[in-house]
Amino acid sequence: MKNSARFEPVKNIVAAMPLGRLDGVLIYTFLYLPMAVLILESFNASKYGIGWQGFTLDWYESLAADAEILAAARNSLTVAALSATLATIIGSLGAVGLQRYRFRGRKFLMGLLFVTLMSPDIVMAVSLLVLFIGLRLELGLFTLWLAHTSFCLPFVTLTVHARLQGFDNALVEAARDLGAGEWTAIRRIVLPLALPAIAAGWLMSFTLSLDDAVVSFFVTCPDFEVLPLRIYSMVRLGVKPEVNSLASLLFAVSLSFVLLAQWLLRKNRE
Amino acid sequence: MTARPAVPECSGKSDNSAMPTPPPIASFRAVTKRYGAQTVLPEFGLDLREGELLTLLGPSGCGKTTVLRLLAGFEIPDSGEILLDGRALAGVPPEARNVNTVFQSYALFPHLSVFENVAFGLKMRKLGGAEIRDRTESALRMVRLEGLGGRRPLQLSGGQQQRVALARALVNRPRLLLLDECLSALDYQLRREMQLELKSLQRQTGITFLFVTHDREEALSISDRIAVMRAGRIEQLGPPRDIYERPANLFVAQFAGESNVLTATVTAITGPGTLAVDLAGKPLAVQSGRHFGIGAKLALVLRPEDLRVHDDAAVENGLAGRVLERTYRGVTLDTLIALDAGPRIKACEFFREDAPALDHPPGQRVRVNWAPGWEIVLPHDA
Repeated sequence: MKNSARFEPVKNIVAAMPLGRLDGVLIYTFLYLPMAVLILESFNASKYGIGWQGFTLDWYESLAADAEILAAARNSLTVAALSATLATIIGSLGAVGLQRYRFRGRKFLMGLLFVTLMSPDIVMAVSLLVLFIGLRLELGLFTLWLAHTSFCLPFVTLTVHARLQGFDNALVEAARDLGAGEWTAIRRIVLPLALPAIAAGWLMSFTLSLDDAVVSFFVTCPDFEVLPLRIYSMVRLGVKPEVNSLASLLFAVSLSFVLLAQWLLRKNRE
Repeated sequence: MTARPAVPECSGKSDNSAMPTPPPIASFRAVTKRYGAQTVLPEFGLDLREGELLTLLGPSGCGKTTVLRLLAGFEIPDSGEILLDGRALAGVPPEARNVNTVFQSYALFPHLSVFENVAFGLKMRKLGGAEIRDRTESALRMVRLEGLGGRRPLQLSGGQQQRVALARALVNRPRLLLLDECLSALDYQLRREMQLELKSLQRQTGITFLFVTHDREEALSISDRIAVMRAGRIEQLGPPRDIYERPANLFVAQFAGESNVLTATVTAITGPGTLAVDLAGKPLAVQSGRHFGIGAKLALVLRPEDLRVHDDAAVENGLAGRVLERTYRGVTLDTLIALDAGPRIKACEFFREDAPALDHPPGQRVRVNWAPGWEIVLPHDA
């Protein structure tokens, strides 16, 4: 109630400026037009995407019949679930540690998180590959899991850490005052209060892992293919309409996860 | 008007050297606490008596909250010893101390119901379900919140949240309850009510309360004893009346209540406990139990409510001056007077139906006097 009242004047200004609305239209056209075309094409009966030749679900059906794609989808979901879970566990504990304790190098560690967040995928991919070869790890599910966990980790840590920033430290002191040990206080008070941020971190990690092609390309073997790589090899032999439907599905999953994560974070703030 | 009676011993809890003192429930012995280069508490010493309500009163930053946090176990002393029931607390974590805290922010767990909040401590002690329920319900009854156990803390008013915080601490039957400025977030009216409630809860439970505040009225009205603190040291420790009427120094006098401070010089010692002083050229007789040499500078502290304002011609004695300002406050009429001797002083008079001469308009010449002996005479050091 209070919020909407505060933003009312801003809304009025925007409404009074046609240019402002035009800007918005341009931005979102630029961002979402390719997606819209992709989704539209996935329902287009034309095999080569030249003109609209009627609505069809054929491409989705042939997708469902493709054993290789189904295997890749299963692999992708497995890796995404495993990586998101491991990243969420480590990242949440890391965030609690960074927030609760004051120690030497704390700021430095925070900085390192941003570095991994911003570092190019290709750098991460090559360095992970070098590491795995050095450790003589067999490329496949396990290496994918480790690699995806490592690039999801900063997202979870920073999301949960941001949530904990507004946290009243007296809550933990109160819990300890009432007889809870340090770990019990974290488990019963800190983690439940950070739960929406933790869930949001998991969902974001899941989408990041699902969408990743570059890192996966380097750290898996041909026997263990994930969806983005499958799409890549399909496209190499010319764009098949099934690719459109597969990409549309991936987009839908990512979008819904991101929306869910945003909703959780907003609910958390209230 | 009769002279103010000597401070009586209000209860057995007051200072009385004739009575054998039981061992303190908690003691600080030469406790030093530093934050970085800053020493917050230098060799702090304090004994708490069983069943008393002791208030640490002082300006912000004087170390009073640190005393509480050291006792709760949230801070570790750099040196010295803290004892609870004669046992040293060094190395004992907060969860193992038989002490509970009511936090300034209340620190209620927002994701738990009121009932779960209050039951938290009992659950941590792994008591049985029936006992937890009974004790939690009776604690909620004690703070008059029965029936609200199912609510979330944020659905309650400030005063109700305050009571939940109290119930959550008291339900554990601690040896010692620590209260950290816990009434400061409430509005004036509610704060007054909660002060009374705190006092009655303390009497009802018999638990020793250590209360921290910077509000002198609060301290004076609820405490058995008050420790006035400044810069990590106790300036004076005693019952409220001692603090207010017999302050140990100028700092305590000014912190404990509104004060007019006048500077005077001793001209003669006229008898046991009586002095002749010079107040900016005007001779004055004052009473003091302290020893002052001739020529010593002293501070004359006059409480506004002890002063009487008279028409210039009506009285012989008193300090002459001119009315600057009058403030009508309902119960009292406050008058600001510029003394001929220089300083301004404030008088605060109650309305009485038999005193028609209370009306002194600004600009009028008046005389201010007070009952002999009601002045507080202190060394002029602070």
